[in-house]
Amino acid sequence: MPSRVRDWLATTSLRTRLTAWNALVVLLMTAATLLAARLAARATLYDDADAELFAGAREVVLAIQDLHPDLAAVVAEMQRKAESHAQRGWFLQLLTEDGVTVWKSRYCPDEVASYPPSRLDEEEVVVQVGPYRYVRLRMRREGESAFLVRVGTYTTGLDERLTGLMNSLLMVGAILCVVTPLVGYWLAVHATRPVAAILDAAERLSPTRLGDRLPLRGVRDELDQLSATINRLLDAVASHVERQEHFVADAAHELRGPLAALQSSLEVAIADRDRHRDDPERLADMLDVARHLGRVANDLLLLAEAGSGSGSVARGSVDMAAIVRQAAGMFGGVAEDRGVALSVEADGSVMATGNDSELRRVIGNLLDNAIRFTPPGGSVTVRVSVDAPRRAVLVEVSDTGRGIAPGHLPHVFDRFYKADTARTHTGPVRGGGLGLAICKSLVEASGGTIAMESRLGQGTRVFVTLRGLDRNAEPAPSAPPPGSPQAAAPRIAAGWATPTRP
Amino acid sequence: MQVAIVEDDPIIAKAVSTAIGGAGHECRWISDGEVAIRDGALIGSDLIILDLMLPGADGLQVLRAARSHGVRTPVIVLTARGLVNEKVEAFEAGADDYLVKPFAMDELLARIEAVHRRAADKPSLVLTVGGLTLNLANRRADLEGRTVDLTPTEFNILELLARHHGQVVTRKMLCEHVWGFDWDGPTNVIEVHINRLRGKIDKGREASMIQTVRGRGYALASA
Repeated sequence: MPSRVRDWLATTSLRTRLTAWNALVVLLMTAATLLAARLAARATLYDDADAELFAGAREVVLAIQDLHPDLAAVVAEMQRKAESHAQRGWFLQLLTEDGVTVWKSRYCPDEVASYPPSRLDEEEVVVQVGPYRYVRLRMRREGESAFLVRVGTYTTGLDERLTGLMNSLLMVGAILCVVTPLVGYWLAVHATRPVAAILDAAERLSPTRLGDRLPLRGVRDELDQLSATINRLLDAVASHVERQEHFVADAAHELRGPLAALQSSLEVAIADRDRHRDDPERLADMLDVARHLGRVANDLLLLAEAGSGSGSVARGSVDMAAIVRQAAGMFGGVAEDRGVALSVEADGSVMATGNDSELRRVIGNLLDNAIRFTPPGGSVTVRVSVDAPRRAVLVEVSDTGRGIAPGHLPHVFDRFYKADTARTHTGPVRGGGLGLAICKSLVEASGGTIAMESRLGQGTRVFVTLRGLDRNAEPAPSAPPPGSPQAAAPRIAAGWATPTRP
Repeated sequence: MQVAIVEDDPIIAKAVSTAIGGAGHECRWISDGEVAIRDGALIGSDLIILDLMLPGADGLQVLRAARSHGVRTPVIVLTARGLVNEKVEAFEAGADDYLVKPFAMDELLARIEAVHRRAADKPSLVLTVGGLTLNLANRRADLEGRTVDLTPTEFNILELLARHHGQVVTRKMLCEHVWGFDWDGPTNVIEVHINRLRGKIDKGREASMIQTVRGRGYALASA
């Protein structure tokens, strides 16, 4: 049975459950209150009655005490007292300790008269015999027990008064038991109405209508907070979906160009083939386009993987100084050919948290960008340093290139944002605009941050901050302070001649 | 050499077969994973090229079945996904090499040669191509009796070209060999190193020893 109740409670609505619990609690409390009231009223009524009886009995005892042992005088006095108390419905009895009645008033019931004396060791007792209640006192004469005096009354009158009181209380209780569930239901409906509204609004939400929001009532209660929380989640989901949609559209756009080129080249090649003419140059062009498509696909995959945080990539400790030296080795020749001075400040080993090949890719991208956008005669500097207090590793790539206009700067890490055009670059550019977005994704996947500052016509600085390791707590061979002779003569292409493969 | 290719995409299978045929080997195409396991279709091949996504049974199942039946033929795994754990799984299942689609045909051919050679004989410590001798033990390069002073990067590039002399070596292969990862960025960093290398070994030659093969990569000429 209880399990059925539980099942029912589990399946009904919140307002019904609230009402049911409310009614149950009120019912139990009313019953308990009635019981307590009855007990209290009864105790008060009987205590009052007992006190009156005792007072009357003491008066009788005092009156007859002095007349003893003149039995006729005692009986006469008792008679007189009995008559004066008769109008209150009292009865009197005079008896010996053996239970022999010496005298009893006219209205003294037989049940009481024949009831044997009990608890004789006590001087004063209260006894209930059926509907009668009496007090019994002992009358003493010169220290010796002479008689017992009983003064009693009917308790039916008391019980009637009690019943009357209880009836009116029961009436109130009954009204409470009817009214409370109704009021409780009304309250529950009112209290849960906003929840119903939230439910309604939430049901109308759908992945295709992500602009909808739950209504706020502006009262800042828990329900408003719930709505606000759900709305914030919806905001986040909507912006995520929007970004994904843009990303897919941008990606499709990015792939469509080369695909169109490939398609038209192939169509021409097939047409030419019918005329028995093969053009190796065109075939090579098509291969270039196909490779470019492959690179874009790889970049997209890399971004998707880094963004998903699927954890399929193992991240551990990597030596950023070694990575930077290796990257400098890769690009040293390129920089020299372009007449750009490449200087590297990355000594010893500086351990950071991340994935080796991902961070190589990041540093490679940054160096590549810096060298490509720095005109001959300029310089590119890569510096690895340890920020011991923050337990961070900082890699700074700075160049003296053209710089980026302030308007473009906030968007340089956006996917497909053409940082190239932002840098007003005119040379051959491999499309994409994904390089810096990939850097950002990969650095963030390693728990780091990337930032850029730039001045148009003066140069650009990119800061990569990665989580350091405890091992770096010992002072790593740090970069010489600016202005020292060493710093004045930067080691051009430090990694150029260093062994890159043991 | 008899090569078996287990691949469900007919365009790739045809292209690979043609390229392998062009390199002077025979090639057999199996398009279904289950067939590859069932009929012992792989037995008798000197090398197996195995796609991971196959109808019937996937490539890893084929590989595990083959290895558990004692087939020791070298296997090169092809995949379009290229996830790190997939690579680890393939090697654990017994693959000898691993190539992500899209790949350059030259790279596949070079890897076929390398895997086959690795399975066949011991690697030599001295590579000789025409007048060029590379000693891998002390990393010294001699050209027609005269020692050439090379940086480690240049030596590594020359080493890979010499290992695959007469064949085309792609930019990607060179990057992976020299730096341990594929630099796919906008700048052709290999080109710069190749040009420096040419400057050192081509003195007094009419044609460079290192030929650029348009759209494919580089090749070391024997002469």
